[in-house]
Amino acid sequence: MEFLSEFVNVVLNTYASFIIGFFIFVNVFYFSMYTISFGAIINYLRRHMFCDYRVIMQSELTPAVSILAPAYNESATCIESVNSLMKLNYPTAEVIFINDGSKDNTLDVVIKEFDLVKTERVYVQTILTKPVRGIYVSQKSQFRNLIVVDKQNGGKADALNVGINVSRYPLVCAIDADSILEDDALLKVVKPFLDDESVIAVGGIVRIANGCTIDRGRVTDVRLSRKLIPSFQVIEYYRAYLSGRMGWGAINGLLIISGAFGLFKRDIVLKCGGYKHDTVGEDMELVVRMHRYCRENNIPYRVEFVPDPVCWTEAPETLKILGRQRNRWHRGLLDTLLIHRKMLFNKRYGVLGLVSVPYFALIELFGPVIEAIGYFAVGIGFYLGMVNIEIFTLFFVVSVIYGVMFSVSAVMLEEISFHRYPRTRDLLKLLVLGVVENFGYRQITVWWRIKAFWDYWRGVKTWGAMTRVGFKK
Amino acid sequence: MIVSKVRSGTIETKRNDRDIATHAALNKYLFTELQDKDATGHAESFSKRLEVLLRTVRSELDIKNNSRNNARRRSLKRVMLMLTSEVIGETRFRLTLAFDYFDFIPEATKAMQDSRWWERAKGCKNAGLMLNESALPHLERCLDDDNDDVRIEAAQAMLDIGGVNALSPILMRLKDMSPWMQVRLSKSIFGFGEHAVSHLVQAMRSPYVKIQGFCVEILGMLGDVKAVPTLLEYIDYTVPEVKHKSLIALGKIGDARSIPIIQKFLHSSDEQLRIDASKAAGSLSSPLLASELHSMLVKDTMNVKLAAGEALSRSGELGIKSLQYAVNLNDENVRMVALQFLHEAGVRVEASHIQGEQ
Repeated sequence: MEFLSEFVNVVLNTYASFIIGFFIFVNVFYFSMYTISFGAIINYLRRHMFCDYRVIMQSELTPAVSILAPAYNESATCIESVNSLMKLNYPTAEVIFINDGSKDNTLDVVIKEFDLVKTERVYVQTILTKPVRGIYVSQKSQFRNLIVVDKQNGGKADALNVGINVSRYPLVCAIDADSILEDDALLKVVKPFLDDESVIAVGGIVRIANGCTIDRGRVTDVRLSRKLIPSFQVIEYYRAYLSGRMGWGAINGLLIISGAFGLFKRDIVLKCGGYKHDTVGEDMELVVRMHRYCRENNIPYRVEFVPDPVCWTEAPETLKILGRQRNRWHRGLLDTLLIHRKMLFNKRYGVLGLVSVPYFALIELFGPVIEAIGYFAVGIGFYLGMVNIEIFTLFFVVSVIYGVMFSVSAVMLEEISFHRYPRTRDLLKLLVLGVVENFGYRQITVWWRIKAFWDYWRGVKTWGAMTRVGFKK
Repeated sequence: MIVSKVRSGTIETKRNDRDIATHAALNKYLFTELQDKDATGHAESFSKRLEVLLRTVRSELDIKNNSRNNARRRSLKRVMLMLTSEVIGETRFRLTLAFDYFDFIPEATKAMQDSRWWERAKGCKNAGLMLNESALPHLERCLDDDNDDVRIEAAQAMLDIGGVNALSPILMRLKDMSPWMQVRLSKSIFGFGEHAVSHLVQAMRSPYVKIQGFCVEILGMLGDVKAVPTLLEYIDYTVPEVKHKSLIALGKIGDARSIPIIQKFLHSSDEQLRIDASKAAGSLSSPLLASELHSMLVKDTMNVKLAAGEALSRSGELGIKSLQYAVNLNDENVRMVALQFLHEAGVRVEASHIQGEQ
């Protein structure tokens, strides 16, 4: 018995040392990333002073964009979505609406609303996809840039691949059919392509629209949701985008461009083979594959991130739906890292192989597991009376303070730079939530992410139904 | 907007009586109507009277031993710079004189030598807004800056100050052009219209591919036939990147002298050149190229077939007939491409026989 107690003591002490080391490593890393992000945002704002988006809007030299909007059973919202996309400020753009074999009357609704007729347009299947049943164009001149593709159901990735095949322009913009784009969204994300010809992909900030007022497909009043779960996600998004992706973009190590809104060079996407349709993290997988393609072929390239708020999306409002989403994201991350495991600690892939992929593997993927074991170890330690209360309290307080500090810094960064929440009350609420999320919410998300490992092991490949409440109008 | 704010004295929110007095004096200087000659008939008194008004602004600006003098001066400069985009004609002229009078130009040229790129870019931008020729040598030096934004602001400022005559010196001096620089400069160049053509033609002598490509692209967009001989002369000697753009430009200009060269590139071994030549042929809409396009539609790769099909649909009656003929061929790809472009040209195709709608 004494031996067992000694053994447990050694295990717990070793794990405690590991946890402290991991904690220091993670926080030093986060701090470095935050510093890089801060510098990158300041630089972005400085460059912004010399950019007049009207010039991009009016120029014939601005590269044309094909906007790809895949839809599955979206009959209730598709008209508004298409109308909002058609009104975006951009000199030359086509909207390709892909009906991914919807079981409802999405196609009929779109045909009727936009006066569509089936065309004889040639479908060149550069990327292999499920069969296309028809390509429709509008008879109304104001919708001459709208192309509707009807295809057999094959999932979002397959629908996007069809859109890429049909597109005619050098840049393709992948969006979720339920995303709301700012009027100048395309003008802002195209700017990095103009600044540097080696840019192959650009992601933009996705903001949470729950609580905001939406009028005719536009966010007209920005407010924080009164509900707790969407508000927690606002903080998470701030941390992920402003403190995370901005920094990754600055060192050309950005691995994720949200499926809700991203702009890509079509020729590189085609050379990479388009979206992979048998993964739930197709957006991340494509970006990693584009990085890999350029690195392996010695093509100079950059993947950039634009910190301007350009896209709004509806966040899950219940724990059940949020759990499904986080589970899917984590399965997607795991799948992508397994597919591209060759890049891990491989110096051939530069910053990607030595920093980005190891970070996502060690901290993002296994972080929840390490954290959960930590909670478990603390429980056992308390039960066996092996926990030094003073050291535990100190560690706990320091970790919470660090977490809060990063959340608050992300909120402050947003406030200094883009100032999208005009109400002081909303800002104060965000700061309070940055503290509160550490007690309960964080632990739930850890559980969802751990469960994703189990689901991946079981071969679960589903997205999980994402029931949406709809925007406040 | 800015003008009305200056006129109403509400341009700055944090202001005191002195600021209000300075802006009132500026308002008087800019908007007071002055006759060409005074009562005695002396013409020079116009500029003298302007100077009197300017002295009033200065007297409000510089007060002995006042710690806010510099702040007031910065505020005045900010307001004047904001006004540059809002006023034209004589008022703009008066504003330009005022920049000189208050020695704001040396401040801008000094900023161009700052170690921080954004200060250099701001210096260039402000110099452009001040429209003073003395800044030109400093701006020219900034065209060699390491930072793209500084180079863009310098080039833009030179175009604003020197007009179309500054165009070829700028292009000959630049070694590279980012797409953003091309977008920015093209706006001013389109403003110059046909006057820019000779300068662009001159700048095609630049040894840098990016500059040549930019000139070719803009010449095509301007659509002036004067550029055709130079484009035809250069097309055989340039790198593929410029060749592609030259073909598109020749198509856009639409001069019959381009037909032989387009015909030549329709037989090129480079697929992209054949596509570009097809596009140029489509823009030219010449029936003389229909037989070549038809043969490409039938025999070439899918990408070229699509370009040739589109060109045929724009090549008049002969092109349409060619597409109608292709619909009945056995090759499924040819048939599909022909059907697509007949449909886009508004020609109805029915089952086994073809019936034109026109």
